[in-house]
Amino acid sequence: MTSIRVRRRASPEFALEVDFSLGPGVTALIGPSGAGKTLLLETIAGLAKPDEGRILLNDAILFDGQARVDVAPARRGCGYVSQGDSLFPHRTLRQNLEFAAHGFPRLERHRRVAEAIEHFSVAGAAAHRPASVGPVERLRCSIARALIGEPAVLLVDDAGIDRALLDLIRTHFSGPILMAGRDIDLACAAGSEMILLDAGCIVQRGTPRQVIDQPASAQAARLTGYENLWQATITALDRAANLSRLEFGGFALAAQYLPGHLRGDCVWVAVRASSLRPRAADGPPASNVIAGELTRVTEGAQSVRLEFGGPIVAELALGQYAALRDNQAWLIEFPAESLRVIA
Amino acid sequence: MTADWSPLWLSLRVALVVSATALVVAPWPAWRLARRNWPVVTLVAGFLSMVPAVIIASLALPEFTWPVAAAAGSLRAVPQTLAACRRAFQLLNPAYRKAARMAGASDWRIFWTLALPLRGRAVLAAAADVFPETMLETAVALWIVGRLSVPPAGAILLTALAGGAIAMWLRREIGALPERQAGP
Repeated sequence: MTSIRVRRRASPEFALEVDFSLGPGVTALIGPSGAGKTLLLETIAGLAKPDEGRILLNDAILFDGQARVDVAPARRGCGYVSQGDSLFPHRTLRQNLEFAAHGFPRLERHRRVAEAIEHFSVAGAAAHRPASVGPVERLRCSIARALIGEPAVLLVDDAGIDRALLDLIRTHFSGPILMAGRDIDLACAAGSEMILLDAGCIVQRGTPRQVIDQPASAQAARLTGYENLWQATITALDRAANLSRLEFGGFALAAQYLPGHLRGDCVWVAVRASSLRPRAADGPPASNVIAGELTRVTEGAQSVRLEFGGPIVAELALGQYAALRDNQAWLIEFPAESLRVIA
Repeated sequence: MTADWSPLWLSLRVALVVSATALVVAPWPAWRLARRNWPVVTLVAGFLSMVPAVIIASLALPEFTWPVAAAAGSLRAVPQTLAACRRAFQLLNPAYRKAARMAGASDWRIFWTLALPLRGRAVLAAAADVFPETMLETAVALWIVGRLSVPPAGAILLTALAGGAIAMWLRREIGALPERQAGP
């Protein structure tokens, strides 16, 4: 079992307090800047000491505050890839790898370095110093260096890993990976579990799909990128018709029936911008629509972000927006199934 | 009348020995202190670096010899170099040290393989700073005990100025002595 239960007060304003177990596969640690992701990874790696708690890796105790056990970083069996460049600038990539393999006998060291160079395709850059190779080679070499000692767990701190590189890591490393970052798409595509971290605490954890589709709190909805988040009051509940009515500040919407709620309950409602359907006011009639005044348009590479008074944020594909570009009066449709109601 | 040039050789010897001592003695404790905040050590080092030890030694001791001057000069120069080296080491990217620690490197190995190669020029500049200061201090001490005439005094001043210029050039050329503390 690999479990982490730690508490560390880093400053009077900030304390890291987490308790979770690490399963096989990739666990994505998602959180904003300053959430405590780096501190958590460093705590597991042994680079930062918690005030209290217990860290178990494959049932071996790495840290126990009560028993005063604190295993040295190199003996923990953790590979760590830090956020910024951590390759030694005065050594070539090969020498960086050799540094990490220093503890092995000479022949074994050569074998490991050669394998790492081959696995992570840095043969062409191995004789160069980090400053004279590209960021991709540097990142690959950092990962190779972290894996050269065959760690039991790999900790990756917001290093800018993409899907292809993660697949490459998975090819050569079968242990659990705890990967901190902000890329929800990557977490969703490659992660078997997702942990949302904010202000040093775990906000929600589960499978990526579960966390993204069913945020457990307004904070979780914010962290998973819900652009629209409002407070509402339930004014009607109709189980037979599978309907509920939600009253917002200046408008009301119909949503699916909300089991476990009562009329008068105050809830949070989250909607993704891409789920909303802005349309022309003189178009065909639709249900669950409100009028909106367009305040700002931001064109992206694939889509257009529309901001309405309220504020309500919607997103349209470029083609859809081109057809509505000259529209004067807007209606915004809220599909009932897209409303995520959070208690 | 021939001038007595022995004060020039004496102050040169003292300055060289003191600079070399500072260069050898200061970096390792500076590296050990770089990530720690020990106010007592900082206070003592700060106090020692301000004391004109050579002058005091020349006044206190009946016979003012170069080993005494070198020992007294080192008393001031080592803490001063230590403080400068500490600032230099604090600017070393913490990610390097963390990566080295993850690779199982001891503090001593990190010092030799990372800290010195990466901040070695700053360490040199810190030791070079000591040279002109010690020369001038020794000259003042010799003047107090009445062993300094005008020609060697001028030569000492010129040598110290040249040493100071070299130290300044080292500092500017290599950007060696950091002016700010390391970030978190």
